[in-house]
Amino acid sequence: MTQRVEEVPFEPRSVYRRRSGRISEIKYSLYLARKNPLVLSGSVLAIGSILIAALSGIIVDPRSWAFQYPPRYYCWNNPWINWHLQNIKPCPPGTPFYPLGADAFGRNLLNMIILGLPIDLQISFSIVISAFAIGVALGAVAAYAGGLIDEAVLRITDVFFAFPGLVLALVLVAVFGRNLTILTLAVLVVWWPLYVRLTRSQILAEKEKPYAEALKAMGAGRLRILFLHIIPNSIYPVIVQATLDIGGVILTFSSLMFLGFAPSPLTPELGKLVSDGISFVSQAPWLVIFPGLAIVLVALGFNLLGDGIRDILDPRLRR
Amino acid sequence: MNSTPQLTKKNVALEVRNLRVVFHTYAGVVKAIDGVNLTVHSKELLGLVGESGSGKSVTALAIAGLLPENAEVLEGEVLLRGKDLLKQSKKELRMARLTDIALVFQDPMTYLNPVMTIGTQITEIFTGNLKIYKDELIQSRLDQIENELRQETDPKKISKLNEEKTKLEIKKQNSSGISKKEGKRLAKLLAIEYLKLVKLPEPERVFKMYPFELSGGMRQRAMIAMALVRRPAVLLADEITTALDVTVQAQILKLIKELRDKVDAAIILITHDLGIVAETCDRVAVMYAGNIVEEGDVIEIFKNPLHPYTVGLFGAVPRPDIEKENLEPVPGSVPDLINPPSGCRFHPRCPKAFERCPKSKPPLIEYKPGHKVACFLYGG
Amino acid sequence: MKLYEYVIRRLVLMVFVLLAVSVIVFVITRGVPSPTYALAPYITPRMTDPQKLQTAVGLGIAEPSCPSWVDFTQSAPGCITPLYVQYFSWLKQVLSGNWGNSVIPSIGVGQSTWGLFVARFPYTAELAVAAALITVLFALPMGIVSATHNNKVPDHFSRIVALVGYSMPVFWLAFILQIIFVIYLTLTIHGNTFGLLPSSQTVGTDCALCIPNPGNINTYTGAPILDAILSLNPAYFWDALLALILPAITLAFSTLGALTRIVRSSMMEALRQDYILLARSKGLRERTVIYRHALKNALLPAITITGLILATLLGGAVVVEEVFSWPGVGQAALDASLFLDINFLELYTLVTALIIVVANLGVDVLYAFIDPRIRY
Repeated sequence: MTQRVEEVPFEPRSVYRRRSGRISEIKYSLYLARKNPLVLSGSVLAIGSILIAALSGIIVDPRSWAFQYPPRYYCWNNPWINWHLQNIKPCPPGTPFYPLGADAFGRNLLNMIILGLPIDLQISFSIVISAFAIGVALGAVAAYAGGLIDEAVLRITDVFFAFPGLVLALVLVAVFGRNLTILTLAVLVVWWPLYVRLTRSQILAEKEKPYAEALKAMGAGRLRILFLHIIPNSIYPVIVQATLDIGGVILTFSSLMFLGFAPSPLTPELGKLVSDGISFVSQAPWLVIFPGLAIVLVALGFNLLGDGIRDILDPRLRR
Repeated sequence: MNSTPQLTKKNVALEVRNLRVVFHTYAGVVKAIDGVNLTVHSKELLGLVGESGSGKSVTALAIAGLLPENAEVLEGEVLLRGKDLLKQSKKELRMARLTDIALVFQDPMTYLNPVMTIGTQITEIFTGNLKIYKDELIQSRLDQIENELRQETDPKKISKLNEEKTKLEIKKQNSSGISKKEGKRLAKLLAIEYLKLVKLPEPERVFKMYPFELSGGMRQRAMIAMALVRRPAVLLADEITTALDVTVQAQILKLIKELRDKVDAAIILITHDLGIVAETCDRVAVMYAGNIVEEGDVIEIFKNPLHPYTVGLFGAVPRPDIEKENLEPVPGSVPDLINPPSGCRFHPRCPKAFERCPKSKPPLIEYKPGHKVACFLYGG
Repeated sequence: MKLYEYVIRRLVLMVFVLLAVSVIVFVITRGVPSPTYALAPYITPRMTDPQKLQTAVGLGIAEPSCPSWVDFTQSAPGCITPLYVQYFSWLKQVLSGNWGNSVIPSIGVGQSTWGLFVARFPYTAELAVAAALITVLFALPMGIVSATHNNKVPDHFSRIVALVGYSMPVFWLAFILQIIFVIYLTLTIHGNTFGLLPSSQTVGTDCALCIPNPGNINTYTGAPILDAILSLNPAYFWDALLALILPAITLAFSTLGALTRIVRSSMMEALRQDYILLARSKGLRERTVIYRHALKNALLPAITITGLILATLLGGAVVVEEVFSWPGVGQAALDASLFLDINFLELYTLVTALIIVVANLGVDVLYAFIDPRIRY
């Protein structure tokens, strides 16, 4: 007499999830996002930086990177006025018209930071989006096809994992010369294998779940199951990783520019701005501090956002 | 075995009075336990039955003070040796778990630490608390030596054992503690004795093994040994057979029954399986949606169930001795505990509900000696 | 499968990965259409044309039957050796230890590339090990405290430190630290003003805390701190240690975040497990529950990332070495890429790849020792 009282299994994600289910799920995610201070501050920083970058040509005269403005009278240290002084000092922050100070050529630091922002964001987004696309495509195929294809993809990522961070970029730039396409490719080459691995492991886990088996049993096509069911259900961690990586790529790219791989001395970029400032670091530390701080804020924005999204989408923390 | 067991006739081991526990969740406040009263006596096997989500496990965790962070005990008392555990400090609660309340859980795979040997997981109870367990460790070793001496014929070994005995007796008199190494040795011997007690084959080998190297039944036995080795006053066994095969289930239940006679713990067997209760328990308490709806001797309740829910439960169990066309499940489903039904929580599913049921909550009253029920059909 | 069988299998796989890496590097550095790229480092302008051709033939780039240098530079048919033949002759040279000579002006033209690398590697190793130690020493406690005090002040604090750590460009942090410790925190001794810590070089003597004349040491390993210990020179050791502080902290701060985050999440995961409930139900002290039961399980993911961090640090401290004028291989690689020293870049890339692959293998073997469930 060992019959059990019937237990109703609790299945939160049912096979037949209706569209309304997914929408309410998204609504709930947004509700959590509004309550989460990490996401809130992160999205303010991230969206703010994207807006500033998009409108930089309107907010600031694009020529102010390359040309000096006529000297301002308010800045008494300006070299245009004080050229006779031996001790030329760049304009310090806090002066009128120069909220963040100016550099030794009298260029407005705030304007330069705003002008340097778009290239960083543009390149970072293009690298992350390409890495994401390559990673999801290859990872999905590898995980779903299995066998020889899987093994081949894995071994290829193994090879690219053996190049850390900047090393391959140094080689590529040395051989092919300094231009933005090469720099972008140089960073992309070391970034994509991570996405392949991540997507692959996610899909492998998702493939084994009962609902995928059920769909197969119902006679749904392989590609249909993969693209309409498995990828949408397993892609969240990859999206989180992509959000986090936007910050990381900005750091890597600006490091390359800092190291002197900028295509031209007039390329408006934040890492370049820092490296321009270092010869004045003892007299004018703000020339190093503020451009770097701008990079920190942008990267922090995307990192906060990614961290917060991870918390929100983590099923264990969800309910 | 134990030094001075107070074997009076009805020796209350644990008493739970009017326990109420809620969980704070995103969806709202879950009123998981709503006034539970329970009494267990030493050497008694009490079955706590109910559907999943009726609050059995939460009761056990609340008794041991191991509720998760989002739980809150609204009111109630858990009396152990005349002390209310719920009012104790964290440290005293830990001491109570260390010496008096032991838990055995459902799934022995996930509840045993995968990267520690069975032996370490048992002995760490003693080696981490040598001050408290000094006397017990020495006494248990002395008992072991006595036993061995009775069987031993080899004079060399006898003299060796005697030597150890005198050494231990000196240490027992000494007020200072025992060394870590000595504690480890004694704990290991004690652990192996208990692994033998739960009928694990080759206890010395099992002592050195990792949980993943054992079968499900063996792991469950190891977990039971881990609980018993402290000689607790109360043993809470939470669904201990659910994850096991039917044959292994039977072995474990047999073991539990035998152990009840050997140690003087009160055992609360939490299960959703009426068969287990009928086979092993002395008394049974039926839980529904955070309340105890019926309590009494096993035979009495199985013969003469009073509460409509209990009646329904029995109707949902196939019985080969009574010929029936269909099983009769209890209609409806477990209520939402965020907004539980008013009055008697069973009334929306109850076939015999009348106008009084939704209005107030029926108390648990003694209908017959040794048979309590919480239902307005039987007064109250 | 036994552990050693697994290791052998992995070693074989490792050889293939390294060969693939060498092919990629070779094709990038020498397979570019114009031969002048490949030849630039070797053939100086003062050479006469027959000499250049001779050199090119010696390098295995030009076929001996090639009539003249002009034909070679115009890639006349039959003049340039096919790329795969070039690869194998290159591989043969490289495996016999001949990596060519350096052309980096600041470091020494004509010096053997291998010798240059060997002389500089100990500095990078010293920096990387110091940074990895700092990372682990701070990240482990921070991650644990963060997990055990989830959503309380220590958690917020360490999460913010971690977040800022991986949002901060290394080059910028290096300068901020220099501004603080070298420019603003100064001490005046005997009328001379010194920064608190040295800002560059491996042994600083121009700072307030430094000892001005530390004396000399014998070169045993090439790493200043180790050599100072082996030479029993405490003053030199102290100076070398001071010079290491800023670069090591800078480097550590960039990796701290990643490790803290992993420790935190795996520790939280471990603390949620059922065996923690059983451990608590046994009446164990909270300390024992956290440090014995949870930590041992949570360490596994942390070890993976620590191995990777050490490998990346060993190979990729380019920025920090550049900013702090640290004479390691990273700085030399940067110079090499600016002056097109392909030999050095090849050596650097391959050694870095080797370190990473070996570190991965080491991590996997270590796993087997910590987790009894893993049997290869």
